[in-house]
Amino acid sequence: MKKMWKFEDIVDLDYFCRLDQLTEQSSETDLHQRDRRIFLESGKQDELHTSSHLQCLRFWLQRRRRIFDNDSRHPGPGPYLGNLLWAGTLFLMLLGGVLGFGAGLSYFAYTGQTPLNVFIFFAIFILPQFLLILLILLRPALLRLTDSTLSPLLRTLAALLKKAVEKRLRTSDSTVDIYGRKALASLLVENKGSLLKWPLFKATQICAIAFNIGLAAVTLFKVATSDLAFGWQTTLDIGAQGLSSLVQILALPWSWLFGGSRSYPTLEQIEGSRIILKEGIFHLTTTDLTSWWPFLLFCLLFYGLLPRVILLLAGAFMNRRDRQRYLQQRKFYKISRRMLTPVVSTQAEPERHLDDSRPSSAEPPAAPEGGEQLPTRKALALIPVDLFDGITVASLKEYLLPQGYMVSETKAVFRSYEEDRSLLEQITDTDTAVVVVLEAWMAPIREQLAFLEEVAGRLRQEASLGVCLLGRPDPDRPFASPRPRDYLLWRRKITECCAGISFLTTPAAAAKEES
Amino acid sequence: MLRRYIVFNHAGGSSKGRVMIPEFAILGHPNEGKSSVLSTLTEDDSVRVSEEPGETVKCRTFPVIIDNREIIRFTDTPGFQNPTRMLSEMQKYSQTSEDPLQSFYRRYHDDEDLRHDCELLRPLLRGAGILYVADGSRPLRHVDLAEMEILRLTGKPRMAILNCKGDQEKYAQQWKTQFRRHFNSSRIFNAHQAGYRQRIMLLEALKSIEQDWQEALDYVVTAFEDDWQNRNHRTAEFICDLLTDCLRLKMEKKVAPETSLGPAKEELFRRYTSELVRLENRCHRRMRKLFKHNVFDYRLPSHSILRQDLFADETWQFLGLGRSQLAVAGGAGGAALAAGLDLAAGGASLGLFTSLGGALGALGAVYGSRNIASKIKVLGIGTAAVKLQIGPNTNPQFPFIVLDRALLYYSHITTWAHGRRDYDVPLPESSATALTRTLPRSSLKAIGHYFRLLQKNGFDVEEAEERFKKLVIRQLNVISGAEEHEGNNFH
Repeated sequence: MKKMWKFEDIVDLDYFCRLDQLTEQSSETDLHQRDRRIFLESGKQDELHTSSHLQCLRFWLQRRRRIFDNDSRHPGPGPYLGNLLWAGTLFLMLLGGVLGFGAGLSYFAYTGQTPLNVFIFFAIFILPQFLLILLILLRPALLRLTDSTLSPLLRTLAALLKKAVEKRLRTSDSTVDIYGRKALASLLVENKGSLLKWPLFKATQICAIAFNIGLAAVTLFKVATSDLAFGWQTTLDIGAQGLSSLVQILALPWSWLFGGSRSYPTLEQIEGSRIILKEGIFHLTTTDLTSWWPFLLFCLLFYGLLPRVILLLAGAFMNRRDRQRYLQQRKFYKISRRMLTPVVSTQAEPERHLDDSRPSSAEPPAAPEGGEQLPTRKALALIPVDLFDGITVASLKEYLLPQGYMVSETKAVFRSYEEDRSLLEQITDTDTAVVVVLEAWMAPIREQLAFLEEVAGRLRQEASLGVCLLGRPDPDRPFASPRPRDYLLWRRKITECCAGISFLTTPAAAAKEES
Repeated sequence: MLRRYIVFNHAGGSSKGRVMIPEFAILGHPNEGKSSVLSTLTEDDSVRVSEEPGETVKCRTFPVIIDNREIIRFTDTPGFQNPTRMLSEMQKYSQTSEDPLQSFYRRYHDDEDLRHDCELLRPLLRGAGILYVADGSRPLRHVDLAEMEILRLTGKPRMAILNCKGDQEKYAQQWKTQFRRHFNSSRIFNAHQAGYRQRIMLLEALKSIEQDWQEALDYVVTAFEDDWQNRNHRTAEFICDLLTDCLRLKMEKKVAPETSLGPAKEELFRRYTSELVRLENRCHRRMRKLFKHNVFDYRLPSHSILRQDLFADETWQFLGLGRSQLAVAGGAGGAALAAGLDLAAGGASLGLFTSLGGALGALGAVYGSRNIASKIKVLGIGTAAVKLQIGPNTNPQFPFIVLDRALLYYSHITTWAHGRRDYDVPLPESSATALTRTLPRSSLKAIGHYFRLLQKNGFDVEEAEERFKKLVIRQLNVISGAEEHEGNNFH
């Protein structure tokens, strides 16, 4: 069976929730961490995962209360407010009972001189109650008419309760105190005071029920223990017949059950209990004068007590429904979601900043070299193994010739480390010009730069070393020029490790070629 | 959705009695997009991603921490600098009984020339699995084959990721052929385009390379999925907040009786619209933060409807509902309102003003946004001042426009991979169509009902809001690929 959410539970739940929202350090991440920890430390992960949102909330509340109690050395406001409300209800019940009892005693103070006027009984005990009930039923419409969000009674009660709990919550920790007060103030009046509305409604019904019970008890007591006489009198032109019809109508709710004679006075009895002052009461018969009391008692039960009992039950139902609705608020769903969702982090430690003092690769390209006509030299072209095919070699030869390099020999490089080492041995101390072809569209790696460095170091001084930086090849154009960005990057990297190298391609040339 | 979690222990793969956290080292040639892949996979846009190769010189670890426990970790590494030399050395060791990886590192870890290569091997020495990243838009080279062979010689569990730059898969087949020879499995993962679904699929694929890590990866995938659902929940809440604030916004202004009302109305209208724009921007900021886009504010496509102002004619033309849909969402019969809805759908309608109300309010649709200021409600003329009021907005189309824009923004923010740094290149946007136009009648009614409750400032909106949220979350899941598209998105 589902466990009911009590008033104090909802107050504490809402209070902690509001406190979370108000406290500065409560970022969503912090709250997630905390609520997830509550879940993980519960030892009931499996159970909670399969349980409902409300069960999760109940568990959360239980743990939060414990945490709050430890942190602030006093419990949340819920139990205290609940107790206050309970005490208030009890007080109202006692008050109602005493008032009913007292009012009954005053009314039934019969001295034997004049019978008790049944109209007075109606005017004091039945009619006002009936009007009040009517007012209660019309209240929602009236509130809508006045566009009021909170009834004055509720507002006053909320203020009183807030003040009382504030005193209780005052701790040495002023921050909690301030936020606590704010949270409390908002939770008592927000949502049209829905938290307090039904408990207050129920308390007033209990008060009225106690009043009616007190009054009924006195009536029965007096009827049983003293000789009472009831009569009626009026200056208006209402005959016994009219009154009898009215009485029969009023007795409809119970007359079908108990029968006419026991439910209300008959026409003769009504006629026999009419008080006419100039005639006195001596001619009235006792049976007629006592015939009214069952009717009055039934009136009290059916028009005073029963509607209040119905209203109390309706209030309890509405209270329950509103609490369920209250718990459907988004902020409460957030809690159970925070509990059930793992806290995931994939962030790395902050990266240390690299030294950015190196020259930018976006520096303007240097003017193309080889502006002056150079004598044609024989050259050895070292071509990456991936480009070492007939078409590229032919294109390369064609490209280098106008620049003074006649490629006489070609060798593939970067196939394997051993082959490159062996090639380096072969070119040691050579005086032939060497042209190294590099694929500039690939990222420059240490291995290729070191190879170039070694080639430069092994050549004789008079032998020149040229570098051909190529762009990404495609099937139609194997000998493509590099993008300016790649060209500049490679050029910078190469000049950082070896000097005196001629760059035989330029991005400008690439642009021309492409055009 | 409640998901049952396994109580995860680092039981598998322990060595020498120590608990071992599954680690995946991202390896590859320089400038192949290793950092981009990692940035997208871990949704961390603080990762240094640069066009300049060799930016990563030290290994950087990205722990996947779930509930304060590190479950797996990814490690970014420097690119290979001496692949052919490394291969040569390692092949020598492999011919003997020595472990090539250990021996190479032991011998060369002090060698300045091989500093980067030794650094990239360090996670492998700890037992990390390999995620080899290559760019499928470029042809395969000998150095690549050398790198793959080195990784094969390490004997570690390994998987290849083809990150095709510029969305070109020109050489993908060439790469895949080689991957089959050297790796346990391979996947295409575009670091510039991968969204939530692709990230999850990559993690799922990692399970296949080492059985011992399956449990940890299962745990991570489940947590990632729950985390995503949580984010979608929160996004739906941001959208609810935005709609609530926008639909309940009203402003008042007091004007001295002898003053002309025209300028006051214009000013009130300006304040009102700028407040709506502020609310929308706040919602977008919150969404951006939630999806961990911290570094940049990406540029919207040039033709994006989101570039238009909330009240621009184009916005009202392309977003929101069609005429017949509006009638369904409005939940109202009556010729007057129907006529009004027709007008509202047809023009740049705002219908902002409570004074117009009902059919008159709908007829106000014929006024363009420039003239609407003249329709500001005059609440009362007192002896001291005239009180003007604008809002709350009662136009039935307005909340659908706001919702459409929020969904569109979500679509952008979740499509933008964290590994992207080309902020100047806008995302393609398929069309400026209204996502809400795909709504079936039942969803339209539910959403319309929620909007009406908000407009009425009703207290009992929780139930309607829950229903609305569920519909929005469903739509967010479809947009982000967390849920399959099945005809109409809202059901």
